[in-house]
Amino acid sequence: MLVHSRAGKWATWAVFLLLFVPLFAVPLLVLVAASFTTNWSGAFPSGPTTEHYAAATSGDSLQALTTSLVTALCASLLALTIGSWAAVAAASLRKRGRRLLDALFMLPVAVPSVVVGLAVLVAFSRPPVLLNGTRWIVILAHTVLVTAFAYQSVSAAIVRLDPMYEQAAASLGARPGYVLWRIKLPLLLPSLTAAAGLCFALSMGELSATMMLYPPDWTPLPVQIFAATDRGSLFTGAAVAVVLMGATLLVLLGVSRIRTRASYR
Amino acid sequence: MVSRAGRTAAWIWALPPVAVLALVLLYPLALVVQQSVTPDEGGTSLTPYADVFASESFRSALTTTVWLAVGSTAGCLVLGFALALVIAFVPFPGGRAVARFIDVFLSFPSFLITLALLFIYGTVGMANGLWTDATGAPEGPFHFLTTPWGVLLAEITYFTPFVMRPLLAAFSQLDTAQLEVASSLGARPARIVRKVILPEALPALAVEAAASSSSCASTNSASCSSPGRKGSPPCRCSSTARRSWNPTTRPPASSPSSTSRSRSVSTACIGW
Repeated sequence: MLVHSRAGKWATWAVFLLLFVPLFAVPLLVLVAASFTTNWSGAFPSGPTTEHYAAATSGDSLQALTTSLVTALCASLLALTIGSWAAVAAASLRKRGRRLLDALFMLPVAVPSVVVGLAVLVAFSRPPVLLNGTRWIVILAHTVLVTAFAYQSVSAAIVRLDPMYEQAAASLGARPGYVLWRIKLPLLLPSLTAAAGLCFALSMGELSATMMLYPPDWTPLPVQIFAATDRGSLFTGAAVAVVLMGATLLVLLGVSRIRTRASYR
Repeated sequence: MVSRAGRTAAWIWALPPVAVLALVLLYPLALVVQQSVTPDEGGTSLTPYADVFASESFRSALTTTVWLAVGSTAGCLVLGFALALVIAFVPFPGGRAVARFIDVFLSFPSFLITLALLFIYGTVGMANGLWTDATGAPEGPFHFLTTPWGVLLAEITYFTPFVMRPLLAAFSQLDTAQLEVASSLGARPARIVRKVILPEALPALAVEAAASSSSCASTNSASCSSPGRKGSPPCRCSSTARRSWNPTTRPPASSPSSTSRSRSVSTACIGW
């Protein structure tokens, strides 16, 4: 579409590969390779084995996987609701109000996740709301951390939305609720699913705030990986990480099936 | 023109999410700030801040972090925009798979990037191993992992997917016909990017720039596990807080050491 000549296309793809492979593909492949080995001291791994996967898909790790999935699902649904509600509401405000909401919902990203974790811990370890030691504090912290991303992707999409559609619908007598439900949300659906996927993936990989908050019976997978690599069992950690990424990939594939005519590609 | 009543209604609709955010984020943050200026003896004091800012190591860590944040934000934006551009507009077989792959990278716990980089560029890693095997030299040429450049590499690897993800979503809503028209009118690719694609991507890109610069500055967990950079403030916050606030092995609340330690954590984090 952008580059039409054959040589130009190949040159573009070559540059793409040159950047993409060493920066993203190689680190991932190295982890996958590490998850299948028993020994890696030279240039290449040795001693192929699958026993790390046996450890990574049973007992504690399996339970941690369910924990992570449930946490990420709850957190991303909550964050998507709050974030897109705020984004839609902000779009109908005037400039000052929109700025204020933008700043407020940018805050969870601007504040280090460690600080968010600490703040949540301090606030919910005392009355009136006592959540410390329960799974809800983990879900709450994840929701806070990913809401900003939901808000940002949805509000960036609203800015690009053609106001003509809503105005046409409203001029034909549609009430605001109907316009929102039948016009705005379907047009925003690609961004909503993208935001949901983003929130889910972020929550699956969140470690720094979780480390401070998790109760012993609610250990998410990243904590498990960190514990494994911290103990020195790098290869088991790598196997658990591959399982984590596989699970995330499956869920994201499912989310990306939700498409409408609003997306061209 | 929107009526006065319409504006009030808009504000009322904006209230519920703001109220939720206030309860789960603003109130906790306010508590942390309050705790950081309340010493053990009671009253209000700024001494903890003076102590933190007086320490040489904190100030040098702050400089390094600002430098790293600026560098990695610029790197992520340029790299992310270029890669997203190719995936969306110079499609190739497997492009969709690559886009999915980027999503998976988001679920990568950040310290795993460092682990993978250690496997590749560490002193006994792949790159150095290949070099010593090929040349017979006693040690390889790659030692940048313990320098800020290693952290920069880790941060760019970690944050570029965060830039690409919203860009790809924005690009997917761009009507291809606009590009075809521009190119049939004789615009060259560079001009199409500048005049058609960039304006469309700008909202997403601007938001991302702000977000990734702040998260680069804050989410230093990627650099945390990198050797030699253990002392940067977010890492210190994390390790100290875990020790004093650990829900499983929490020390008695009255223990002075634990409260004063958590106080210094609050201070370091807010000073952050």
